[in-house]
Amino acid sequence: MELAEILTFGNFTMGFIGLLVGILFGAIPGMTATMAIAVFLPLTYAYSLVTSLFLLLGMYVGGISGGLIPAILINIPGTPSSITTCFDGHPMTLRGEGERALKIGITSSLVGGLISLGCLALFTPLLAQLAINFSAVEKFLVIIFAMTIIAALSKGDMLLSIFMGFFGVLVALMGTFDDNNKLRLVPYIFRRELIYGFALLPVLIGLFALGQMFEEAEGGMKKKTVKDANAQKQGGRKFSFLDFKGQFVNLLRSSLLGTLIGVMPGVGGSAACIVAYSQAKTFSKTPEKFGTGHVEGLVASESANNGLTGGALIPLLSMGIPGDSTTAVLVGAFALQGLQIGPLFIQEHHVLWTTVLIALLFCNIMMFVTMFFPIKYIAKVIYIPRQRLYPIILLMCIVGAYRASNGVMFDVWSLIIFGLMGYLFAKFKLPSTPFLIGFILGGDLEKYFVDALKGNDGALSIFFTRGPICWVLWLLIAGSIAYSFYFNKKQAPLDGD
Amino acid sequence: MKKIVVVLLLACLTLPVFAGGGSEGASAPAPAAAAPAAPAAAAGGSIKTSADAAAYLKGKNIRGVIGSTAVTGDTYLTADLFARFVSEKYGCNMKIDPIGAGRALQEVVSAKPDGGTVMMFHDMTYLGVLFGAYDAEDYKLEKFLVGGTYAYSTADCFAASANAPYKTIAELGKWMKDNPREIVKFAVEAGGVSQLCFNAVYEWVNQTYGKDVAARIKVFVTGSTDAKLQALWDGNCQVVYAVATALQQYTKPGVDPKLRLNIIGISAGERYESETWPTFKEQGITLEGKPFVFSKEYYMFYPTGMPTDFIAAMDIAIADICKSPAYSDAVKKLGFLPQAKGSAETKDYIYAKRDSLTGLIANAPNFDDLTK
Repeated sequence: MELAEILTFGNFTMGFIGLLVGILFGAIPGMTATMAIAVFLPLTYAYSLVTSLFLLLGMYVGGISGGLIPAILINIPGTPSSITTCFDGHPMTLRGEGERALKIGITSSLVGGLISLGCLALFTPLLAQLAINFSAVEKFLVIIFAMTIIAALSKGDMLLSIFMGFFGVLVALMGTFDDNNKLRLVPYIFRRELIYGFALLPVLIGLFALGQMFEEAEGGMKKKTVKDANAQKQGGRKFSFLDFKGQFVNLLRSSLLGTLIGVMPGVGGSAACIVAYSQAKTFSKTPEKFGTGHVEGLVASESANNGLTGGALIPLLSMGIPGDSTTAVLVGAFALQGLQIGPLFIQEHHVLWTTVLIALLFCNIMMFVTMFFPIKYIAKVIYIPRQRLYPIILLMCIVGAYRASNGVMFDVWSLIIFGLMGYLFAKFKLPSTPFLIGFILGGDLEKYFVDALKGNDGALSIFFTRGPICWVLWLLIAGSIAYSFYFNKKQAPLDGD
Repeated sequence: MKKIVVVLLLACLTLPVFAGGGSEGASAPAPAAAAPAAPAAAAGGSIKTSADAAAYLKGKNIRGVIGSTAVTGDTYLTADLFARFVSEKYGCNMKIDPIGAGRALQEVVSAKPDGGTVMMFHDMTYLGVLFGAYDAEDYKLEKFLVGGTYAYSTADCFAASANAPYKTIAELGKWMKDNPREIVKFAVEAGGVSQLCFNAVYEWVNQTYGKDVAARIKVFVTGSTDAKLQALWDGNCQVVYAVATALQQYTKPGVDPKLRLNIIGISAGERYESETWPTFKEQGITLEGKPFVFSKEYYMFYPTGMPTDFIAAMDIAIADICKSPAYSDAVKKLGFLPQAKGSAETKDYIYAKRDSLTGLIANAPNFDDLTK
């Protein structure tokens, strides 16, 4: 009876439509899964909750997965959670292995999605208990742990990378401080525009997309394709499932890290892929190859960001607390139908719980089928001459930036400002990735630091005395920093000037 | 070269620090001002009937900006529901943009008064100004027009862990008196309805048990309901403020004891439907001898100079829609109640409501002291 209600043609069709819309939103720079769900949310009022869940979960899976396409092909992360996909995905495109990179990314996304779905189906009560024990202290330490990747990415110039990372944190803190509603770090003349600081998406696509366009425009828009890349060069290495040989541990670790970070409410998808990428590099036998088009890095990034999907649903469905910004919007679908999600959701709404599991399974499989087979045609996008491709991307970026805060014109100006900054960073050989990571994580870094202190009368000792999870995280942070110093020293004579 | 670049960047980095400190809000609460002669509202114009309103609104694109960035909160859900009903019944295209309180206020004071942009928000519109979160000179109620009211909440509440030694706010006050070493932290949002209700509880404890007991009441400032619940479960606070319907499931038997909650006080004048959650009034939470009653209401606001025909058409739309059983059912499903008030009535009402709260806010303890 229950299954008959769920397994209908209409539901699967809606799931598929949601998936296609999600992939489209994920693939367009500046648009995200969260945006797709928010835009389509009012539509769900007309459908049953079962059908709505198929539609919205399709968008969730599609939106997270679609981000890899522009990240790999044109070095622009489609969503914030595909930022680390650029690091190794795009270099593969540049050496004529774009199609291979896309197929590796899609397969890793499927594995990440399925592992997180398994965790959701089997370990929700256990992981929910873990989530309750993750206080602001542990979340702060996870963010610090994610930030250690800045040192790992420094390629022999650690001081400058760390500086840029903290510069990103500083820019992220501009705007209103919520605890007292006062503006800080904002020049008086910009007090209206920067009331909430700079939005993430304009900064992300400005630095990556516009910065790159300005840089290339400087040399003149000749009739060339993106960096003269090849989707799949004749004689270039083609995709084979053997590419995953030796990647089992990396796949499993990155998917589980993505799931685990999803379980922690408020930490977010960007942190998931950053932590997974950083750990893949730390445990790799060939860390020096990361950032040069190395399969390990791509696998880690894509399995982690899709690993987040099931993980972020765990605190939502077991405690009523969304794991990330996208699942936070999903709450709206339930609220529109007059249903509040809370700790009894799974017990009281068994049909909906089963729907979530079936819809996620269907959407992950369909994501693979829909993206894997036609990808060689999608990959041909890089054959479009730059002078035709870039105006289209620019238009999409502007639309995406304008939608970032639901119709705020200042976000379009932010896009241009950060585009110019990206261009200047490249001119002065300043690394923009650490800046961006600092910017992405800066807001949460401050929030959890302040929350931890507020809850403990300002005692800094709480960061060391809260318990075993805390100590493990400190060990990981120390290990990651020590490794970065060691790796940086090894790289310095090679890459340093 | 690299050193020069680093020095230059450091200089850039310090610039905003010196430039900063620019405060959007005035620190002192704005005094209650008498309402100046506002432009005529619903009275004038050629719009008298539903048919007139329908003819006027048909085909219009209306952007409803709201004072929240969330698409799952009460502000968005009530505004979106109303917008859908207006669009459906009157053939206009009304769309809600959740852009946040600061930006929504900026929009409503600066938008062209052509019916293209309206603001839909609740009592935080004036409370934010009274609490100093938004500049009184720029954003006080007198800077824009007050439209009608389309819904209200009867379930804004304080909740505590089910394991707490108190089941009501009244018990909390007594427990604090009997346990002079205990501190209770309330999770509230700065500059909003939760700060107002917190002030009422603080003042009641102060008046009933004295300032030594009240001094042990502290705040944990945070925003969304999720963040407040997290703070409660982390042990960073003991009482949270939220819409009770969002917490309903946490109060039921069978919930993990660590997550289970008790609603310890509803600020509205009456109980929420079939629930037994006690109201402030029932518990004797009074201010200067009068029971403290506060319901959050949802209003429309228009830029100054908005055509009287538009205001009249919206007033008629609000009245029509609030009468409709379908809207009534839908808004109840969200945990709220429909409330139809025209713009003229709402204007008098909201000014009086603001003025009645000015004293409480002016005498409220400083948040900076309460967070220490």
